[in-house]
Amino acid sequence: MRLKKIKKILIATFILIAFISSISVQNLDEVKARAAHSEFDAASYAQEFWENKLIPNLSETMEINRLLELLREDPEKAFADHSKALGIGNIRYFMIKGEGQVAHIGENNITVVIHSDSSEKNIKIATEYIFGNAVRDASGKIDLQEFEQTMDFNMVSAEINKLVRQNVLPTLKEGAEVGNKLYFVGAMELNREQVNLENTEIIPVFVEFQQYKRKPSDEG
Amino acid sequence: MICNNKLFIFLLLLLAVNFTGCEGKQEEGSKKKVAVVVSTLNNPWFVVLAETAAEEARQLGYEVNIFDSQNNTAVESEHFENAIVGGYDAILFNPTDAEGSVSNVVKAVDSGLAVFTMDREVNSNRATSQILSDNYAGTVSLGKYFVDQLNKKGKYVELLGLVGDNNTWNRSEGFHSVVDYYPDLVMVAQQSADFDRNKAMQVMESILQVHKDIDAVFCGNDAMAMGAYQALKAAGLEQQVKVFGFDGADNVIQAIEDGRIAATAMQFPKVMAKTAAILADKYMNGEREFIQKLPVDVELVHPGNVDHYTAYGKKK
Repeated sequence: MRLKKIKKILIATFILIAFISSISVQNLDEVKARAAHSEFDAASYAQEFWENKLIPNLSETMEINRLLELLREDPEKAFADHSKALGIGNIRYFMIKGEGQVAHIGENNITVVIHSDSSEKNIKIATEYIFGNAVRDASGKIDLQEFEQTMDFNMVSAEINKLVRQNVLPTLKEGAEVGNKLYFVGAMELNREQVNLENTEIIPVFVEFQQYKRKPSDEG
Repeated sequence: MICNNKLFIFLLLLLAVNFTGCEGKQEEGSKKKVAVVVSTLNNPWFVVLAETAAEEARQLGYEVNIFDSQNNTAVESEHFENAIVGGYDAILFNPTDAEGSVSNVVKAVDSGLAVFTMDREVNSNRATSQILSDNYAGTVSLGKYFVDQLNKKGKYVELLGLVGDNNTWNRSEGFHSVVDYYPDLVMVAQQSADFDRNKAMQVMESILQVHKDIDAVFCGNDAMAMGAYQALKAAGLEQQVKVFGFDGADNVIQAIEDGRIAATAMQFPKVMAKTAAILADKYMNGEREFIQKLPVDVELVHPGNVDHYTAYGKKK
């Protein structure tokens, strides 16, 4: 009788130990710290990209009037020939340049009127929501395959966006007065199946007011 | 001693039977075999992923079996062992853990199998190719919409997925890369609910005991969004709290249409599954050069564009 009792206690203890050892309690902060990216320096990578790959090549970008015309006439060709993307899907990125006149200064963007031979069109340049992969991916100069972890690649976008806030937005906000003329280069995201230019914002990477005296192609 | 010998002989016999059984399956002229190893079949999103991959591979002429890892790397490891000794040629793989699944991938590749990951990433370049949802970009779009919907201020809760999964952190970091720019948006609680609807409901119920004055909940997947919504409804808070999900599940697309859920990010599991199967077919036909990482777009779905979408994809 007593032996049976001891046997039961032993079995119960064994089950309890097995149950406890199967549970692992982890501190969320510790897991987050482990997931953090310790080695890759996204800020330096983004700085190098900005200085040596992006800014020196801005003159290669497409005129926005030409793109708007193509999107109207032959959107498939516009996307096929002039957009870039890294993977599979409908989200594509364009690097564009243009000139226009400030028409409205909003909370999140500046509306610029673009004149072409036959018409005029409003486009929006972002001043608030500088997020996402538009600049990184529209440039076509950063290859995902170089990165062991996708999150490192994502951090590059975040750092590039910081450079936009730091290097471009102050000039843009300072010079933005209704009527002022503006030269800009920027990146734009469009969904191939839901092209909606009204709600699309351009992320600026270069802006110049005062009659476009200095363009990035002249900088050398 | 006799007992030990008997046990040893029994184990040897078991091993022998196992190996002979496996060899028997590799008859000459028989179909090549593809294993679909999926992290869980307890979530409809992964069921769609696994079944689409299996169906596509079958249509390409392969013998296919689906293995459920039950969100457990040990179970996943057993499936890999079985695939290796079972004469499989390729694994279409949805990993359980970005780090914990690496050894399985390495083992399979070293044994001559091709491994194509779907949706989730492993932190290794040993997989033949990785077809990944662009979670970060998806949550950046969702984050911008979130900020806009809350007018840049308010209190919110974040429900995380499995903490060992890269997708959990890619989604969370994408979201915070936007939302954290707004100091008037305050996160009052952040907890894991393992991508599980019931767990999300329980976690949300307990958070609501302390924080009834929240304005929004951001959830790392749609199952958790529905669980959070249930808890909010039970507390009578479903009108004041906006719920944001991630996935594009059928019930959430419906819930966006009727205003219960504010927005989600549409992943395309069928696109990923089909791509993985097609790449595996190319591998089987001799191709050896594959892009190491192939991201698949994730698109924001909200009341303004929900009519373009259906469960796990776009309307045709």
